[in-house]
Amino acid sequence: MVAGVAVAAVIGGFLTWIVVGIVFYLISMIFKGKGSLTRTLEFTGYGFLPQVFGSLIGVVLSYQILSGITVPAATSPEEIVAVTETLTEMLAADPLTSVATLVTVLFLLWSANIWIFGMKYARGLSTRNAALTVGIPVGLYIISLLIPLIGWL
Amino acid sequence: MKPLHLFIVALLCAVAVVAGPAQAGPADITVTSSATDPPVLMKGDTGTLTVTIQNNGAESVAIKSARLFGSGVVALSDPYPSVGEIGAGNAKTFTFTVRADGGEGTFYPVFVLDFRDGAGNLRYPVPVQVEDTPLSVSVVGKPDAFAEGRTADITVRVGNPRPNAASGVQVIPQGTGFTATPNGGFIGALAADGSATVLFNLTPAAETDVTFQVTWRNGINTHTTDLVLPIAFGEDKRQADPVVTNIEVTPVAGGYRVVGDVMNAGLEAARSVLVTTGAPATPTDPFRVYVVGTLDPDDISSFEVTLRADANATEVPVVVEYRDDDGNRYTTTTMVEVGGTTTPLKEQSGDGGLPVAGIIVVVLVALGIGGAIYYSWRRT
Repeated sequence: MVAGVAVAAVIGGFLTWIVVGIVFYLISMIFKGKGSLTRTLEFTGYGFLPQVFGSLIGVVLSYQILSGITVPAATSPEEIVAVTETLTEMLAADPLTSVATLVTVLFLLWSANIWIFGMKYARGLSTRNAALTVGIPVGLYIISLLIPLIGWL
Repeated sequence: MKPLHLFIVALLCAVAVVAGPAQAGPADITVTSSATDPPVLMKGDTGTLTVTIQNNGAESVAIKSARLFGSGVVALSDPYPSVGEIGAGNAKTFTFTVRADGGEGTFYPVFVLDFRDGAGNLRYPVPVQVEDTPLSVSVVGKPDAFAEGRTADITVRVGNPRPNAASGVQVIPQGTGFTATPNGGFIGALAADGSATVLFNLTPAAETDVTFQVTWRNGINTHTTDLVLPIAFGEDKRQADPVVTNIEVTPVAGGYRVVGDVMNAGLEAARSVLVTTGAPATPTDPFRVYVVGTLDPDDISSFEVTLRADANATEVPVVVEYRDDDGNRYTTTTMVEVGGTTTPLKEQSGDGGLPVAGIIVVVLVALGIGGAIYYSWRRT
């Protein structure tokens, strides 16, 4: 079970890297970017370095959140639904979840900063165009993260 | 007439002349009455026996002594050693102290009058009844069950199956581990075949035996009869019976909220009803305790309590406290499931805002990342 989750996390990390790189590559095409996809993926990968530190803090926060929870045994579908709803409600209501979201956003901003420079040199873009290439998808993602948090605050 | 016959007649006449006028003799003394006090003795009792005699003759009768003897009922007092003369038509009473030394039945001690001058004596058997039947005592009213600290009405009936009246009858509850009000009941005289009741308010503090001691007098003799009433605690069939139903458990921040109904399924009112939770659960605000008040029989009331429980707890006790009319406290406990599909939500810190440590982490991370971003842009 744990091994499966670890494998899925590794595969998911690589998929995220590739998807983000492709998204940057496609958006930079609007600004007439000239670098190759391989180089774009390379620089995108550099930008994921801050996420390592962010993940470490996220692990600590997640442990704090999950340590006080006992997931009850659920056998029937109704019970599974009830448990899921309760856990979701519980996680959303936990203040540490908000802290974790804010930390994620901060590290995402750091990554975005690296990606801006990466797109600037990998795709030969101006600083403004590189910022737009990175800022549009990252900004949308950050907004999606902050909407529940703003609603909770 | 022959000379011999004539001589005899003359001799009789001479004797008659020498003897003088006619006098009253022992035959004129009769026992007119006798009585004992008390009328009926018990074994070992001491009483008095009174014998009255009368001289029915025309002349006084000289009596030397009077005495009483017999078995079963024996005289304790001395005989009358010198009685003297009893005039014509007069009566005289002799009183003896007697004791019933034998068993039950009717005894006949003999009253003896000794006349003077060798005139013989009078012997008169006096009937004395001895019966050892004591007063009867019984509990004619008590609750179905006793409970610690709960006042119970105990009705004690005292009956007198004896053929004579009893005096100074009183009932005194004796023993430890209880209080009784009154601490003694006085009945007084109790006629033959009569009865009387005494009501006690008895409050036991522990399981014990209560001895109702009936004390009475038969004449000057004091007697007692005991009745032991075991006080064993049990469940009163009529007592209030709060039942918790319609339970609904909802996870809330920091614990659970339990709502439900409490109904009195007993036959007596439950007063000062409180609903709370017991260990291992911990009552929490806002509903640590829910006050229901008085629940009459068949009444129902809703309640709501909030609690915090261990993450591993699957059941928590909902405790209903109530009192009876005497103020005695009772509790009933109902286990409520909190496991299964319900999970307690983690309590939010302070007023619901971000925890201080979290804010510090966010600020530090923001400063670090802001510095890194500023440094990178400054280099370009």
